[in-house]
Amino acid sequence: MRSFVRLFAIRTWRFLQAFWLIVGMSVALLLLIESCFRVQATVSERMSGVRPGAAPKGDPQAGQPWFDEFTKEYDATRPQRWKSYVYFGRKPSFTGRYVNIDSAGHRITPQPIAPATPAAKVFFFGGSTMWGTAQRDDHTIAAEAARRLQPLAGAGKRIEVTNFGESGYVTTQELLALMLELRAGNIPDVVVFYDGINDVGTTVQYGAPGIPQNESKRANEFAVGRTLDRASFERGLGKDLRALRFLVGEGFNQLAIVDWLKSKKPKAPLTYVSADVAARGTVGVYAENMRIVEGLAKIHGFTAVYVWQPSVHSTEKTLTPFEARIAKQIEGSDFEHRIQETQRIIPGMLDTAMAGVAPGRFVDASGLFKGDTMSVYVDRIGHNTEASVPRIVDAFWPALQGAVTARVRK
Amino acid sequence: MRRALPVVRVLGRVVRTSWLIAGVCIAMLVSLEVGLRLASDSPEPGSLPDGDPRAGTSWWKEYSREFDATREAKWKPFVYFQRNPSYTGQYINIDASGRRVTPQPPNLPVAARVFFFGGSTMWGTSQRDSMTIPAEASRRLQQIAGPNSRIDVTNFGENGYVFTQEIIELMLQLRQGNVPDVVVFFDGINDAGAAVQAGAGGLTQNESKRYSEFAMGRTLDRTGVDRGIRHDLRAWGVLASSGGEQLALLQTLKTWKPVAPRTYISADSGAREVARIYASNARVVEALAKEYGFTPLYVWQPTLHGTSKRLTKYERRLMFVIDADPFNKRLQEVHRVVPALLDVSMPAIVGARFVNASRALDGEAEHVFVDKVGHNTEAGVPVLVDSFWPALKKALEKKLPLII
Repeated sequence: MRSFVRLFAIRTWRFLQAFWLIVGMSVALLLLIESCFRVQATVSERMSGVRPGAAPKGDPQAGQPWFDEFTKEYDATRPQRWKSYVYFGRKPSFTGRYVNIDSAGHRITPQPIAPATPAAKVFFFGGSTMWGTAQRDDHTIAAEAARRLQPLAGAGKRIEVTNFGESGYVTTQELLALMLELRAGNIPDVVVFYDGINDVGTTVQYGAPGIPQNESKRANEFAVGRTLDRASFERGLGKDLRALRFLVGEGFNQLAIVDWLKSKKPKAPLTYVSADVAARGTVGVYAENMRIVEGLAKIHGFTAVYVWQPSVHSTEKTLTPFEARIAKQIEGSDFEHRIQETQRIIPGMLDTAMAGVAPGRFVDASGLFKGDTMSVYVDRIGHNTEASVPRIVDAFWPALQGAVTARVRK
Repeated sequence: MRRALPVVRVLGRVVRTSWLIAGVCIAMLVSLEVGLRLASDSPEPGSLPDGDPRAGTSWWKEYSREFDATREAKWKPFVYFQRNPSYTGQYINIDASGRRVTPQPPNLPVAARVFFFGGSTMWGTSQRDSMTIPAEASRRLQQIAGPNSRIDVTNFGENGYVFTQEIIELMLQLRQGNVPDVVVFFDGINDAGAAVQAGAGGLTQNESKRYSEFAMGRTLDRTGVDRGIRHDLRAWGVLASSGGEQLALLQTLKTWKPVAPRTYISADSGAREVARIYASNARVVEALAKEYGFTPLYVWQPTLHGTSKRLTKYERRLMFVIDADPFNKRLQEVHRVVPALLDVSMPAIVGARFVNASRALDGEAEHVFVDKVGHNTEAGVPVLVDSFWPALKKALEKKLPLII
């Protein structure tokens, strides 16, 4: 009996030893293959001479002496942090030559800082086009408007401009950001909402309007949080095993080899919401959001100006060779093409819907560059060249000037 | 080449031995983990502490089972979370939108619509569907509506919601064209709790979890702006540390480590923050009310922390726990200051539509609180509704002059 037990123990130990060594060799093999994939990716990247995230060939601003430094600073300011209710915002306090972020995480707009109390406060809300992607601090929409606004303040006075624009923001996030400012006692005199690209993009992305971009990531992150949260009401082995499965799965997902395998898997073609449904949904949410802004405006005593921005998807401008390449990319993607169709329908609908919400204060700037030959767009999202910014501000300047002048006179 | 062979052999042996040692260590760790898990006993689901007023009821066991089944929350845009939709139980029912069902007459024309917002006390924690605040209010409201119509009541209460989340939810409803006639906000516990927890007013409960979940999402996101080996190493680091956090062994070791006492926002600052944010939020609601034409009511709820009632033996035990815990103690101090601040600030914003119900349960001799959060017994609900009933009735009378 004793020898049987001894034999059993020895055999079990040997089996476990062999099994564990096989596991070790498999891990070593996996690491070797992973290293090969990573080395190959780095070498091909170096050989092609294209850095990931670099401006594409022919970028209209790439030849500018400031471009490389701007790009470096822009990349450094891209990481986001969580921001209550509006989800995300850039990390605060970045100082650069061309990109500066204040302690609240807002893009800095160069403007006079004295006297301490401004004659009027103007808030600018929007997505990355308002934040000023591809534009230096003093060439953003907010900066261009700030320059024009100063003479309206009168001698010895100033108008304070705050750029609340943030990459990816949709109008609902902007509305909430405004609400939080009001709640904090930061009441503006005039507010400019500059939207379109992100709202339409998100509607087509999700098939429903009014949701922020990449909402599915938030849902996943929350679910992951619940899975890993050891302080929650749900406890026990079942939960911990789910957590373990998630962690192992995510560990594998970080492997380059898994990326490669995924890229080989045929993808089912995505279907998108019809352009008509997307347009009606986007307009409905936009108009209702702005109705809420109007309500806040009445009680807090500010004036709101609403601008529907021009987009590369629906532009009727004479395209530069670079823009023509962008247009070709748009045509080649089902997603982008649906956005294009939606963008083309919306302005007509908005003119009607917004007339009842904010008469005289809605500016449809979608057709702004019609027939223009200048270089306006730098990518297929629709970010703008610095040269095009004064034209964009021209589009809503009469409405803004009127609103600010009325406030200053008051 | 031949000279290199022994070196490779030795190296191979070292690697092999190290790997085997690692295996033995992992096996020991797993054994220890399993042992710790087997040794720790978890309380039976639905078990109540001695003297709990719910213990003697016939419905508690089934209710508790249903409550546990409906606790899981999913992400909801802008308001962060909400219960999973569509649950059917004997005492708890959740509709397709994830809201607690309020029993009410189904087939009559709707004369007016009332939305109830709040946290878990409004949702109805420890109360059956027919005994929640909206259910009690709904019964009374139907009498106002008369026999041929009904007043539609929706319970938007959700565990942990603060006033700001409720406003956002209201805004999303309005945006969809779901416009009420009267809105009741029933708040206090969560707003004060979140302020003491975060050291600032206006945030949601457990906002720090949203920070870390978002940060983790960025670290693990392979489609984001940050890529490359450094990003992936960070990701593996985060996963490994999260894995460690799941171990009962680590949790046990943590309990041995002395914890530095936490400091909390002062009671005065906390109370001022809570009152300031509450009043500013009310201004936002007033703007919405003017734009969409509904009447809002604001009720500051009674809390165990701030109560002056004659405590039952069970409630005294809850109060003892509060007194012994610095977080709850500070919360208590905040709760005692806030109502007076609101009495000053709210009338200027909303007139007589603010109801300070913080003392509503002070005259009750029986059990009204079931836990240290401040959830109420079913018996306490009619008293709570009594506190804002005149204001609710008046608001509806304005909306329904022909029926009354």
